[in-house]
Amino acid sequence: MKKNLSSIVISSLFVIVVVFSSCKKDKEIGVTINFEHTAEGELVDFENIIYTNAAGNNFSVETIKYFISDITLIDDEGGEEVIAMYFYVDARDQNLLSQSIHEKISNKQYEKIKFVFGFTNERNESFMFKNHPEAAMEWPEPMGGGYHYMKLEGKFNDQDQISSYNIHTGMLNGSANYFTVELPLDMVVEDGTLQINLEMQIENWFTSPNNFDFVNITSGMMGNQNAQTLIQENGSDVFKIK
Amino acid sequence: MRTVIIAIIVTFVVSFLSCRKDDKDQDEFTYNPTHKELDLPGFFPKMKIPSENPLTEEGVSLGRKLYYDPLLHPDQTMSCSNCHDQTKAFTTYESNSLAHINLGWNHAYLWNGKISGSLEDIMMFEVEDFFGTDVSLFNNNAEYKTLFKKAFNVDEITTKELAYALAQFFRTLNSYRSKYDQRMGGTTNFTEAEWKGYDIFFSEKGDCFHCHGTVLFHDNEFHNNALDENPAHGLFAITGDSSDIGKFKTPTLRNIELTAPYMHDGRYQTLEEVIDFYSEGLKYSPTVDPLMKNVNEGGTGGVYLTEQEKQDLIAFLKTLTDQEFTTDPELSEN
Repeated sequence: MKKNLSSIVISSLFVIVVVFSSCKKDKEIGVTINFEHTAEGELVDFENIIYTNAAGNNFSVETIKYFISDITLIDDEGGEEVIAMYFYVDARDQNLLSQSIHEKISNKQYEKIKFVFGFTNERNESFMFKNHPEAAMEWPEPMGGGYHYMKLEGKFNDQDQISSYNIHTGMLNGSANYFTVELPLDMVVEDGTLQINLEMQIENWFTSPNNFDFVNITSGMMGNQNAQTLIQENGSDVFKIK
Repeated sequence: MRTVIIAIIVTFVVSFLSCRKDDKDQDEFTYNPTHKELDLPGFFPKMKIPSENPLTEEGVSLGRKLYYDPLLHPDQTMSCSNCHDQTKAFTTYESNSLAHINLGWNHAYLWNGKISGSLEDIMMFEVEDFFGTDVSLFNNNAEYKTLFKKAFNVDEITTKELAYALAQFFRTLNSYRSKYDQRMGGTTNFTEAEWKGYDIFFSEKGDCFHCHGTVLFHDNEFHNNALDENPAHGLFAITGDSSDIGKFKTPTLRNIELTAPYMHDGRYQTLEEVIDFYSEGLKYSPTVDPLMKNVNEGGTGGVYLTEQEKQDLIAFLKTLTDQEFTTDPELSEN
């Protein structure tokens, strides 16, 4: 009797510990955004000069790094739910192509998603990121401070000579070169979770309304407000929900 | 019945704890390492310390002793310090080794990125592959047996504990007290030349910041910086990806005044030569980084600085020299 009781007690203790460990709450996932980067209808090829923009530049893409911020869901009654302060994306880092928010969202119909490309001036504070990789997006203090909104880089063929282009956008001397993107969702959430596939169409950075020619920025565009404005204006149709 | 079971559970738990206490009483040694906190300025990034190798006074002290001890080498002919001299910011001219500065924030090591991961990973490489340490030399040394017991509570020293101790010491090799840092903290100001150099560094005029930015003065990445038309393999030797040909690790520019020669092969002896290279000497190759936008296929190029601008830029670079780091007795040989 005593031996059986002892075994029961020990077994019970073990079960209690195992059950308690299992019950440790896993981080719940609410919204997941899958970031996809395409050029001319296909996933970006980072190796070759195979694309042509509206200005006639044959170009490659080697780097796509950017921030989106103030990510907000808008429901069918116009109510807004901010789900994340920012995401940093590096199109060549698999770990950053799918990012989740660990908090479930309200069950309802969501009509739109809205976000700022880059940061608003108020949010774009210098030194708010201390660790890499975000810290390496810093925009120099002498040029306005804060962080790059985007680094889009590659090479292009200009009259049979290969040169490099850097589309670097940011808060040049305090200018509000960011823009807001609003995209239709039309999704019903019933279990607090939502998956969004967000596509960046690279070629759209260089057209509509402005045909952007890389030869005009061979020395860089960080200090060129005209170029900053052209890219900002072109950004309105770069993103799509897939 | 429930009361009986609860009483049995309580008895079981108390008995178990009592047994442990008896065992403990039989040991003469109590493992109780002292937590060590890093004293870094607020504008520095937070250093990730792995939970399996927390910073302790005993671990750091042991790692520091190892750093200077030729016992790491099977023939006892060299230590870390042979190629990493504190007065040269923990490198040497002869070795052209990457300086041991602020490596606690790195995630790739060596010029070609051969080792990636944590400091524990690179230290395992150093102990097992670079030195080929004979652990029996440490297990037969009474002093080290005691030190490792205090630091890691081990009776048998393996390469793991050697690597972990070194990693802890490396996490204290931090340079953050240069004139640049003092200006960041508001306790000093730059000269006119240093300010002009700062503006060149942090603009597209010099364009240094894209690779050598942040308070670490590197971006933790690899770049082909237009050194050669036919560059050395670099990162390609590790990844096998042809787009990585010519890519080498961005070194920190902290203490750059002290860490000649420069580039992965030590081809430049002075900062003047380095600035001349970036000013007029860039050479195109197919894998050149797009950030090197001032050089085109078939030609040479650069940012084309005037002589005065070059001098100003060098004046700024010298503000990154940290004499406290190169003379700190806490980092020196005991």
